[in-house]
Amino acid sequence: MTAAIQTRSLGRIYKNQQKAAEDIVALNDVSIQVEIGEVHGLLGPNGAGKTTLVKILSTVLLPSSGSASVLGLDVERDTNAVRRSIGIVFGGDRGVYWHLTGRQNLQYWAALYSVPARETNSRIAKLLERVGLADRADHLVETYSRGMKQRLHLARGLVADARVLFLDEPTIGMDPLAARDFRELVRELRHEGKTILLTTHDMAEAESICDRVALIDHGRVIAVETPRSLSRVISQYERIDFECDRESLAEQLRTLPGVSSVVRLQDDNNYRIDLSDGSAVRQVLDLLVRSGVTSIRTSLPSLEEVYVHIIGDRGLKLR
Amino acid sequence: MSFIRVFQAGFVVGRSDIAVFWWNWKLWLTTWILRVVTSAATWILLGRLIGSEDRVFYLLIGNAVIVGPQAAGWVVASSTWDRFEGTYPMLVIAPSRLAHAMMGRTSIWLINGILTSLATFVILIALFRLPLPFPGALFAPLIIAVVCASAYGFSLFVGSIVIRIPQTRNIAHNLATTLLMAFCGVSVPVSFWPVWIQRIVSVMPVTHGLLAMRLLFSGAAITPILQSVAAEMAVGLAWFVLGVMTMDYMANLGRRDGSIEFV
Repeated sequence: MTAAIQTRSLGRIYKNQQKAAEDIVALNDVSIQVEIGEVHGLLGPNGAGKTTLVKILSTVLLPSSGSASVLGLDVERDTNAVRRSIGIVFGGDRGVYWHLTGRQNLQYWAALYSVPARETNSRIAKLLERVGLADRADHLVETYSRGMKQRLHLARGLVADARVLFLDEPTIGMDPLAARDFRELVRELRHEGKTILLTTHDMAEAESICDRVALIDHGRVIAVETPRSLSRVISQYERIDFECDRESLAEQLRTLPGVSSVVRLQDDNNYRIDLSDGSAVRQVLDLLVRSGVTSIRTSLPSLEEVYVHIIGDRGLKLR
Repeated sequence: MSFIRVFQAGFVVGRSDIAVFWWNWKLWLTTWILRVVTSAATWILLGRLIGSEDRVFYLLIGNAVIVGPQAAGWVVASSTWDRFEGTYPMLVIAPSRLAHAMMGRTSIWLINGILTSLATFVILIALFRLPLPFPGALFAPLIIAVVCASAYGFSLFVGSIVIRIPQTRNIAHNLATTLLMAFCGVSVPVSFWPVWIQRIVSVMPVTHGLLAMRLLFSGAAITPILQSVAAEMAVGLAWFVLGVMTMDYMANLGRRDGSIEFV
């Protein structure tokens, strides 16, 4: 069965015309496969190469090396066929016509995507309803908030009813409620059989809607896993929180093998144990229970912790 | 069918572009037309001060016609607006041809050019009492439309180049219109210039159409008028085809070197 999206050793270099030594490698040997009907997340810091990957797959950019295909169609050879199969949403408030109304924007793109004329108006009305812009459909986009523009982007990406969707930071500018609605929309789209490639900084977003997540950094794919599996990558860093008023127990815990630290949290009697070896969990829990501790909580790390662990605590620094 | 639909959709965007400048026809008439008529009339009055009535009519025809190509020249700038709006990459990757959408959006400036030239012509004829050779004068609007369309083709070509470096759009627009005004027979006869310049202007818009206009108003036979109109159309068509090809080429170049992403 043909994958919805496939890249093989994909590379993209931005040439510096003055100094070849300062060429920027945006993507380096990227190979991913996204199955039909999958919601696939691309996670990574700014400048990691996520957007470049989406731009190559959506035929905005040409690759410098390797190959990429969408629904079995090569993005370089079968460019027009790829374009007819995809919808794309770029983040931010640019990319829509501010002097047109929301409805006029969608009518414009519907024409460019050859949506049958007799279907256009009803499809646009449904889309506007779906993204919560029905009430403002006939207002000029320049009067929209950033979040509303972003929702219009989303509707624009859906207007062609494409089988494969690329969503590049789609929730930028959305308020939490709108972002929640967006996630629900993505789930609905998955049920309709759409394949979605989503780039995001938002760990919770990736965790809640993606079937698999690719971590990207320095133009390379570091790992491709389910959000749950990625969390397990550092499950040895599993943590246990407990409540106790005896510092001596904390001392005792620190001596156990596989315990990397026991720290007292800001609340006086709350402690957090960080493990360096997942197999130490049983031993730690056994000691806590024998010591009469009744308030114990274990947890797997969030995707954010996985992200920070693998990519490093780079903060806002770009490469 | 697809072309017509995309063109119409693009035209809606173009209409919203022009509405930013003049949001109704009264404003267009009282600001824009007043300005171009004043400018053209100044040249004509200078002609009256230093020359004969023939010179006045020469300047009147030249200056009334050139305001059309000048106005249509806004195509140069408007070709780049999608880059600033962030819609350009999406137009490039839409299944429809980029040129069709661009033509739809920019054609409003062609219409503006034709209407500007016609309005200016009518006002200047009334002001300076240019004798109209009837029924030949009825063809004047047609010639004006051809000249503006030809200038539109040329401007589309210039616009296709500045898409790549959109910051230069106003320089390119001004340079292009200055060249047309200076060398294509608007105020100074083409024959005044060295032969090599005459050869260049023979493949520029305005030159042949303006000649046709002058022949029409001098009561010349129909054949040379039609020949000049045909030459103007051929020149305009050539620039237009070159413009469309350049537009596609620049889009692909931008996809290759990554410049499509940036403004």
